[in-house]
Amino acid sequence: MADLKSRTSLTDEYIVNGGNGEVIIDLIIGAMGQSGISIIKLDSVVLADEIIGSLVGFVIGTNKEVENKFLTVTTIITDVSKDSDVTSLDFAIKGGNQPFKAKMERAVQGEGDSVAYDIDIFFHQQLL
Amino acid sequence: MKKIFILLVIIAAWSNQLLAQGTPIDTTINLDVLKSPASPAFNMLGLSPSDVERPTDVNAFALSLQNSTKNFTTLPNSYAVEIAPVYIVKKSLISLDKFNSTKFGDVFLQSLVLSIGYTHVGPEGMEDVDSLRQSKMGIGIRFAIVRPKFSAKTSQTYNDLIAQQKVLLKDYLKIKGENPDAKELQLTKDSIKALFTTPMDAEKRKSELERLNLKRAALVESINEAGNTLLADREAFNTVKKIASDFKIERTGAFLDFSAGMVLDFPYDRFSNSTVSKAGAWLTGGYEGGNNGLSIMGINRFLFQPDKVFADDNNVLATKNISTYDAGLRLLYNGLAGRFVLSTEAIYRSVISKSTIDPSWRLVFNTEYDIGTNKKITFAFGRNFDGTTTKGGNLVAALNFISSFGSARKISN
Repeated sequence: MADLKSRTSLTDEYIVNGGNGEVIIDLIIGAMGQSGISIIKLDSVVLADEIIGSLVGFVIGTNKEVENKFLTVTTIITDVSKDSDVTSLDFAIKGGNQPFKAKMERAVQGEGDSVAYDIDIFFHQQLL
Repeated sequence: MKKIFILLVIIAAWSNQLLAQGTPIDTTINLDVLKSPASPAFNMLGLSPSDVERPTDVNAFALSLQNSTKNFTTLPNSYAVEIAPVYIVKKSLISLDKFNSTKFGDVFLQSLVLSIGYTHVGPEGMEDVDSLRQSKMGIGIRFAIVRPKFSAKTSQTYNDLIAQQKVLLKDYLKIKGENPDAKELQLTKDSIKALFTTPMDAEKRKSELERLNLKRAALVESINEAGNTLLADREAFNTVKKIASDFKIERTGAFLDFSAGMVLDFPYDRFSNSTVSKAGAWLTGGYEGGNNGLSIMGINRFLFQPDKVFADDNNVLATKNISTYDAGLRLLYNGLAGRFVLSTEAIYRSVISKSTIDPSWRLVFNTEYDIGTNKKITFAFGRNFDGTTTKGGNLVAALNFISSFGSARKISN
């Protein structure tokens, strides 16, 4: 799993197989007690808007449907917890060639501050 | 209402007569003495909460162990770790929106905390004497069984927070769209897509994809960093900040929590041989009615070989092989728009493994009625652990009328 300490953006590729199997994502808001809101887009199509909190097992389409497209996730996490000033975003994809996991986190400077996270994933088939 | 007022004035007048002869009592019982410590295991081991590691994943736990044991070559003099299994079992439950759930599975997992501590020190005052060092291990568990929902006030504040976060998300998307690099990023993405729709040499496609992906990553990062900087100047950012920093979870309804801990001693540092030197279990439950209603809290506490036996005022018992059971109850009622307050607190204490000390209990009953213009009628009733109990009767300890500024209800001559 990629651990991107103090990073708030993630750019990567994800290899799909061109089949009808579903591609699924997880988006986990952290740390304990923080509040997050997200928008998920596949190219220009909004798949989910103003999602509050974490999202588990969200289907973004079949391998065939997502191929040659960009998934963009924008999340705002606000530090609400009195026990931690860390905001974090765990992201995972499965359903393609191999599962993918990454974790980003950033500590806020002031209590109640918000942090914007960006994820940008390109889906394509394995290069020959 | 008028009849109640007249009755209370008569009682108050009568109380002034009584008070001249009565003995003032302490009208407060502090249930905090029975409350479970935040981490029973560490408390019994004498470890400070600041020494506790709190890893949130397996890698962090392994790293913490590695550091404490100097790369697994030696046992540390003290080590304490607190683990919240929710991070491993169901991490999606950790965000704030899930904190209003009352489902047992969610409540249990969100609140479950396991604690393990180890010390290798001498007895108090001689901690660093090598010949007296002994290994001790503390194990603890804490979880909620029943948890109430957010209060109406907390729900409202939470809804306000979410509404402002929605504005903030829109602001951020706008900021990103206005970034000078946004167009370049879109062109880069289009070029990446074109690599897979345009016939070309495989090697060239691979190297071009690599180049464009690096460019894409740099652009996404720079737009994101710039966006975060600009976001901090937005009005919604400061509104969210104000709501979030003042956010405090209040709940109304029934609650039930359990916590327990024990300390194992390893004589001569032999880990095959252990004895339980201390143990404790707490069951805390009740009902939180909010600002204008009924609140009840009850605590049940079992202790094995405590440092001090609560029921033993004169310190006549040695604590070896002693088990104690103590319980407390607090009832608070706010009525008539806050003008009428009724509170009752009681404590029961006992030694269950020896009959040397009889069980004893204490009760304090307070009531207060605000008759306006800063005047309050108060009534207090108490039964003490010692004299009163042995004499076999309850004692009306004080009855008083206070006509003064403020809300003091202290009973005095």
